[in-house]
Amino acid sequence: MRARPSTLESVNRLTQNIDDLLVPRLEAVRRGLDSPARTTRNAVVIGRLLGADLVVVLLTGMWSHVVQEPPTWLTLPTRPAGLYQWTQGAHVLLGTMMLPLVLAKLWVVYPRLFEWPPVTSLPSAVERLSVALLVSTGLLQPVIGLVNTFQWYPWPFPFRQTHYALAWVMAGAVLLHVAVKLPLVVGHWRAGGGSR
Amino acid sequence: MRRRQVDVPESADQVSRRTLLTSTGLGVAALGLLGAGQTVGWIEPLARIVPRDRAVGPQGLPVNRTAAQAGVTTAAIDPAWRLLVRTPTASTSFSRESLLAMPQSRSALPIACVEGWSADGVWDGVALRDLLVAAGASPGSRLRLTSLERDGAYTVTEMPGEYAADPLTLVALALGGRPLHVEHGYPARVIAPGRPGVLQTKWLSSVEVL
Repeated sequence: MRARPSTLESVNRLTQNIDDLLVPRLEAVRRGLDSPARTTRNAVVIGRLLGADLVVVLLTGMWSHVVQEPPTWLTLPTRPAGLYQWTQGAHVLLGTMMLPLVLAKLWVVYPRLFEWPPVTSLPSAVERLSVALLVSTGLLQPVIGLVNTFQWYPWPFPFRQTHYALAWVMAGAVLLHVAVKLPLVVGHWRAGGGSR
Repeated sequence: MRRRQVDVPESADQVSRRTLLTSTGLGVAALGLLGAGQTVGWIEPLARIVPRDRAVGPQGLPVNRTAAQAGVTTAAIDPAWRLLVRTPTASTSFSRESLLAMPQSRSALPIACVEGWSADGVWDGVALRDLLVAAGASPGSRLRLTSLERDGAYTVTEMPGEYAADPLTLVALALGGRPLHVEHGYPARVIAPGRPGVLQTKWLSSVEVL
């Protein structure tokens, strides 16, 4: 006579079944997406360009915010007279040029979305959450910025305040992402530094 | 344990490193060239994604918000217009004629829009610091500027004292040697160094010392 399975056993069997169902499919998807150009080295090459671009865009964006809402304790420089012309020109230009870099970076790394198990520990959960913020703000910020330069506002939220708030979310997500990936970044900084 | 293999066709995705980096670089360069035309003159003909043409606009300067959009077409050309300068102790009003009768200053300053484009202009008018002194205020005062504009996001703005004190900052009455066009803020507008276009108040109606 068979004993009735305990709750724990039932849960174990259920997760095992899900695992059996998903693992081969996700592996197949990743095999199908495998490409000689999807390497860690390429992620680093595009990623550091993106990072440098982002630093300038973030600083010029923060400058634009300060100029528009100056804190009373801060005395702003009024010279050079064309300063804002240059900072904001650079902000819009480099922000627009960011788009192909974001798309290329996503193309190189997106098969990692299909990793299984998706989360292995608390730090890995935080890291994946930061990647979700990174990808969404990385696409949203340049797109709404570009749309704003056409003075087209197909959304109900105020552009400037939203763009500013999301910049902090993006900066935090980038910092966390770089911190997590630092060993890989260092290892692949130079060509041939590591295996893929 | 046994895992079922799922068959997939061999990857058709054989993009090489060169293809990836070349196409990314081309995309970046294309957007860069197209966008830079907003500010950099010689590549302007390439500027296909530019929201507005720098050469279009009265007095050779583009206009972001027209007098009609701002709802000031009547108020701006009303001969009864006066610029009110309010200090904590007094109020002085200036007609356009009285402003023109004051010593005039000239500043070469760009309109630099938050949307990235910019264009240079040569402005004539009364230095804001001179106006403040004439009204009995200190030239480095923090100011509240009000436009004739109705319900715009920038109808009422503040100007930190450092801009008010800068001799380049004008209550501009003319652009390129000709009276200010109504689209550029006739009868008078503010032009200051280093500030975004949205804060260069057009159709100025009052300057209040805070």
